[in-house]
Amino acid sequence: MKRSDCLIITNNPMAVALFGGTYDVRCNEKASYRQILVQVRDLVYIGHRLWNHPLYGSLRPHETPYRSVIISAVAGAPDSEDALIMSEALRVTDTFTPADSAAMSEKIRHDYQLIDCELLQSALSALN
Amino acid sequence: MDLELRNIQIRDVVLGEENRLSDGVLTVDAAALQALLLEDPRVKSARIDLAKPGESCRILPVKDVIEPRAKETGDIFPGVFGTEVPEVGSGVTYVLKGCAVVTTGPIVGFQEGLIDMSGPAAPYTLFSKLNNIVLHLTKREDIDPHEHEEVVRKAGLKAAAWIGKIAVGCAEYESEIYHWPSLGERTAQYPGLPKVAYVCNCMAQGLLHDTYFYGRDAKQLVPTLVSPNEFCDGAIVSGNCVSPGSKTTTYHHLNNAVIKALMARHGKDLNFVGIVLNPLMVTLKEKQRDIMLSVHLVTEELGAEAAIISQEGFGNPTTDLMHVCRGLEKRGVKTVIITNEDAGTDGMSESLPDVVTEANAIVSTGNSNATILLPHMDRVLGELKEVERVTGGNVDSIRPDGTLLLEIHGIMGGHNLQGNTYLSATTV
Repeated sequence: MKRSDCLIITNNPMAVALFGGTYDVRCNEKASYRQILVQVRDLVYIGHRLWNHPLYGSLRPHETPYRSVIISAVAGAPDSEDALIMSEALRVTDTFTPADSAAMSEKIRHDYQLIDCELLQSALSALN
Repeated sequence: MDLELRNIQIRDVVLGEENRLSDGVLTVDAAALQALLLEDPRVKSARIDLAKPGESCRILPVKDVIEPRAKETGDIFPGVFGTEVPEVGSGVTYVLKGCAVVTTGPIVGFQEGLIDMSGPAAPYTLFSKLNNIVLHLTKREDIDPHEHEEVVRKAGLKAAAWIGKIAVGCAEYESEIYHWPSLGERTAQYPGLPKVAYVCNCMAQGLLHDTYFYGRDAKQLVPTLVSPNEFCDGAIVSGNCVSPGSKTTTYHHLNNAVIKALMARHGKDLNFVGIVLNPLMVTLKEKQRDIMLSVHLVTEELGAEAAIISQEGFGNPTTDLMHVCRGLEKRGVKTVIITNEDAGTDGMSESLPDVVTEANAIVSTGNSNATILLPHMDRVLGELKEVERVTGGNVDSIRPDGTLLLEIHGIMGGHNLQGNTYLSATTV
């Protein structure tokens, strides 16, 4: 039985393996860091609430290619603060040259996925 | 609560066959230190090197920097080791100034900060001016990254506490007294002076993004009142390896620059009433809770009229920083914040991911993205190739002529957000 109150939007395949059994995880491995934020922003615009900060962790957008954002499963009234946070996150992201995951070794990709999942885990623990 | 720091200036460190402190020269028994580190069965090998000011030497990837300290009685870094959690902040603490333990060695594939002991990067970091005892640790193959981080963190603290004990009983020292009476006494102490509080933001987000308070993971804390004396005795230690330029190492916590400045002016032109340790969490609800509680503690508990907030990390922590500032200003507390900026390599981009109009007094510790060209160094402790994956470095960082192009952000403590750097603007 999956938790019905939240939805994870991610491009991190490890998040599916670790959290897919408990949470609804929508993973698009081909999406960039920026594309994940755009997808979340558009869902926030139609009323999904934002549960973790989109610029969580201290790795910059030109370092890690991975993003995992937790939002409410159900859309309600749009929240202007959440929309503002997403807009600012995108503005900041656009000041960096994106990380190129294709140029990374398997080991580096794995470690960025791992750190992403660690931060996601602490966010999910705080929500429970 | 009274704490006496007995500061002993170390002018040189040598590796020898016994522990000794004589005339400012610290001799460390290298074999005994190595044996101490290998007591942890998860450590496969421990190599000990020295790096001294002015040498053509580069250390990377650096995980943490720790000043050797020891209590005359009791434990430094309380709650990290053993089953007991002793209270700290009073009594006598011996401090070995001018030297540090530096931990290095890969934990995950992307790596951490750089310390150059000479050349153009040296002025950016406090650590280039120290006699560094560098620990290069490798772990047993079956240890996962989580445990690996713990192994390296604890090895550094253990070594610093062990080396600190060499100083206990030393007769030549400079005494520094930290007198910290109870809250009621503090508030009443200087009724004519403005009451100033300090909010110390600390990372609390997950692997390589953590802080520990009396050994407890700060993710399990809410904003908490802490005394300056507890900072001096290692109640707060760093587990944050990401974002080296803006990272608060354990050395920075032990020598918190904001606390030192406030203590120096306490009773002169201000009344330093207290410190709030504020964990920077991942979820928005946790952030909102900690912002609310930090504001509550500064206003309702400490009754402050002015506040300073220091920052840690990149990105989301700016939300905590700005909103604590807004909350305080709205309650009439004049607030100054200390932060770095990410303004792009040309310095032209908007530099903060979140801003509020109430943040009208900001001290900037510099632009993380500015680049610096570093010369070849004769000796590298750690792994030079790792610079590709240091924050602020990339695959093109190492040039064919051996020079290194790096963002300032890759330098350990390069723009420390407690303002603990050599480069600054001062009023003259």
